[in-house]
Amino acid sequence: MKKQDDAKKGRLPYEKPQLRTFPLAADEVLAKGCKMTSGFAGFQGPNCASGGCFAVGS
Amino acid sequence: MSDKPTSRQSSTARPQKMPGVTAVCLSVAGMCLHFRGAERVRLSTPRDNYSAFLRASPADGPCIDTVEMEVIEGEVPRPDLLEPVFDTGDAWELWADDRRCVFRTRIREESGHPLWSMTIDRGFNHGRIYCSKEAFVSSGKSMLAQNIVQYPLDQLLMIHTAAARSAALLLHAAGGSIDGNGVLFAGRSGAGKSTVSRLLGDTNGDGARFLSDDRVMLRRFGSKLSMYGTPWPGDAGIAINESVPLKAICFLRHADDTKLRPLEPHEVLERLLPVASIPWYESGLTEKALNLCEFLIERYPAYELAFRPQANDLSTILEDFSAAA
Repeated sequence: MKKQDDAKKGRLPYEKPQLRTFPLAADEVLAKGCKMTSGFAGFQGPNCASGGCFAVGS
Repeated sequence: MSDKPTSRQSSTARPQKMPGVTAVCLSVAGMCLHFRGAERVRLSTPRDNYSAFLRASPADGPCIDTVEMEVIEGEVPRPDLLEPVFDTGDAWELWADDRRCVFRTRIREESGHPLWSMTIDRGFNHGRIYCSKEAFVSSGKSMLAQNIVQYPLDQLLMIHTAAARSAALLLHAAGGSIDGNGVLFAGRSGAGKSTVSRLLGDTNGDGARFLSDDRVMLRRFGSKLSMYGTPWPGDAGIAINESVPLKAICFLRHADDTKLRPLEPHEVLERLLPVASIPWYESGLTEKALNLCEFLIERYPAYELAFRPQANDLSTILEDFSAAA
């Protein structure tokens, strides 16, 4: 009935909002880890020394 | 026996150059992090990709935002009176109150204390970096702070300063100038940012010139965005300290065939947020960073670039962008 009313008034019918979720890659964008050949690691790898990181792609 | 010194003796008598520097400025996208050693503290300067982004002081080049950081030798203060805000678990943690933020590395010295801690005001103007004794190498009367002015401390400071001042946004993206038009190639790790940078950069002499193959900073000037290279490259090692006006953004996807597809705003949002360095744990900073994301989505065309990473020719993409521009 509601849809018919909307159609008569030239409005689009109401559609219930849908919630979509998607992952945020915090590991990759918040200076959280070094990029290693095997993927992202914490600060325990061979490229880590005294608080810094020597790997590219961090 | 002659008193004339041998060449070896002359060499040892010459005053030795002190390692490190008393101050250094890291400049990315007009944001200058000015690190100064307190008292007898000297700073080791980062190598390789950083060299084009370093200068002696903020006055030595263009600088829109300055952050003054003093590096101190001493006990890392405990943030007990502050509220815990965020803990990455293995990299760093953030504590804060109304006046200041305290970042602490999760790297611990043998005693269990953090190797360094960074205290800074909420406006990200002035701060101090407290380093424990294990972060230093003794050098005569000086203490050389090693590996402090570099990743991750520098990137952490840039991300939060950019958001706090509504100045800029760091993206996990490669960025290149194609016929003078800035194009971002964004994607998560493994998406092909470095591969695309190599392929497009090598296409021909007057094709694309890449500023970074992994991290690009966006900065707003009125109704326009510019993109900047950063000292944090990917596997291709591209880190150019230059900028170019942004024209479009591409999100990378592996596929069997190369195809460029325009994206709707809701598709852009879903792809942009995972590659944007947004401090989600701080609502004030999040809002400012999202404002820049919204501006990007509303004002700039976005595409999905499906491509086969093994392909050796993306020249048609260059032609597509040149035609669109």
